[in-house]
Amino acid sequence: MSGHRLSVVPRDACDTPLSSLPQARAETEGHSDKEKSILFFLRSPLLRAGLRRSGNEGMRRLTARLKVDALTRIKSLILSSLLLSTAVVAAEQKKSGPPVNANAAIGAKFEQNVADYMKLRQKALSGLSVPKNTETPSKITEFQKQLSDSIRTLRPQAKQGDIFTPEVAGLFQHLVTGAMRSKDGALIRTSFQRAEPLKGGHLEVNAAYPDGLPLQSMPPSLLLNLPRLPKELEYRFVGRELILRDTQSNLIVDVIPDLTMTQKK
Amino acid sequence: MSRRILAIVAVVVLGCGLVSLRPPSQLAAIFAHAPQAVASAPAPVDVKLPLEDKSVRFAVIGDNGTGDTPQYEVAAEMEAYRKVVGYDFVTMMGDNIYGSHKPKDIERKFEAPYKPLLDAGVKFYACLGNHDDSNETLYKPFNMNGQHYYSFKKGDLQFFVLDSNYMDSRQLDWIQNQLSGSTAKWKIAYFHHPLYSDGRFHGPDLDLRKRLMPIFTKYGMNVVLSGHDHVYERFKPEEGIYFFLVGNSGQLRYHNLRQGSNIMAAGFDTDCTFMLVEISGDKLYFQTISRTGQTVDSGLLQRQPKPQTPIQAQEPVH
Repeated sequence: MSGHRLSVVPRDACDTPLSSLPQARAETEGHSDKEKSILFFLRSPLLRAGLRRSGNEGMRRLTARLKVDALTRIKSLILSSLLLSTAVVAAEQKKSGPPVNANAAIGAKFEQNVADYMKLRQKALSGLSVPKNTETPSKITEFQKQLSDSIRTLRPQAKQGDIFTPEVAGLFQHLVTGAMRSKDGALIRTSFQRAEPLKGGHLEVNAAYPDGLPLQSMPPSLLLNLPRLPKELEYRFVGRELILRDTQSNLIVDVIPDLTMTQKK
Repeated sequence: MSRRILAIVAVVVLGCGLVSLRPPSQLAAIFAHAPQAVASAPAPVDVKLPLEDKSVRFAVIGDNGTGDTPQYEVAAEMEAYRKVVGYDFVTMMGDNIYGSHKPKDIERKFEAPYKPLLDAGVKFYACLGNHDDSNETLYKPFNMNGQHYYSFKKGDLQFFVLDSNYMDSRQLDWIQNQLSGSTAKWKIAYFHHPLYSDGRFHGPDLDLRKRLMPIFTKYGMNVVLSGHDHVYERFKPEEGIYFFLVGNSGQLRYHNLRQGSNIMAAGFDTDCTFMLVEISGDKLYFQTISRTGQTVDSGLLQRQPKPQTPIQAQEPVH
């Protein structure tokens, strides 16, 4: 579309009823010589005056054909531009990450891993009573400890990469890079900087998120780019690590150890 | 002997000279936090609110849960004002408990400083800051009912309490649904991270602003309160909405407000504060009080009709 600017013909441009004139005109910039001459001819006062005076049917037909020819050429130009841009986008996608359907499969695998964890968590929760609206803080601490112990017992061999498998970690890197490259990238970066960024220290799977360590807030534009989680789980950054945290048990469920926030060259 | 007297005089003169080199505002900050200030008699309660019949009155605190002396002193002022103003709930802008969250911390950083208020039946409605633990939602005195974000009503007012640490699509959908169904005369949102701030340490969260402002303006949010930057600031209306930042009810960052801001209506960054609000009909009265009982800002805001009208407020005291 570049080089074409469409504008409505002003009503006072000529006396001819608007219905009998082209409703839109294209500036000659970017057209071939043949197109330019057709457009020039269509806009010529002589032609309009001729139409007004004689009402010649043949002339009208010729004009209509020329108009159709010009429009067809413009349409084909637009179509070629679209095809070209689609090809460029596809090539870009091929360069920056796996194809869309491969990503969908990896995303589905991640969702399955999360669902499996949630089943296990539900099992860990059974038999425990959540101290909703307690006035006694020690009951909350006790509940948190019981739940985390129970989850650890049910997944004693849990290790980094169980949920964020290497393919899933790759997908997350792709999604984060995509968000940082998007028009919201600058906002996300500023949001991180202003939230109270945490310097990394490695967090272990099945360990508790350290008591007293603040939580890095997650910029909404980044969260909107990541797969949605059940409300019992959340993503958090600690330095360059993206962690999956169980909010009630305060457990680190999994970690992607080195997720770069900057654009990949 | 005379040499010793001369030496003492010299030390005193030198000390006075050094102190006088500091800018007056810094001196105020030094003396405000000197230990003797704790012992000095508190300023008499000077209520600027009209205390109208059937009005809704509440206090606002933010970034308070340090367990340190300034938090206790602000809490003491809050209690002194409560006795006169009679507010019955407090909105908390997050960072309710800093550092460790063991039971003894909850006691030292919340229950002890606000004991007189809790004993008088004052309710606290908390939101989560970046220093808070998710399980604070289970703690009854915070009235969160296990939710990270929630809503509650008081008379003509509806409050929308958000979790700005984690503004995901679920929460964005929730706030949109809540606001679209709200018939409250006054809609007030509060959450930890500010959409507007002249605090130099953090500043505004622009990504959060991009996501929330279209919803707030679409559904006619009246007032937005937040914390995070450890200062007090009131803003000129932004897209017709009144914004306040109260992030110094326990923490404080001296002289952290950016100078020459064109969005600030009033600011205070040399001591801790809390804010009182009274809403009666279409009028919102506010009064911000420092740790030492000084009124640092007060005024009246008119509920925004369509199109919204500008703020009418008294000159702040700096």
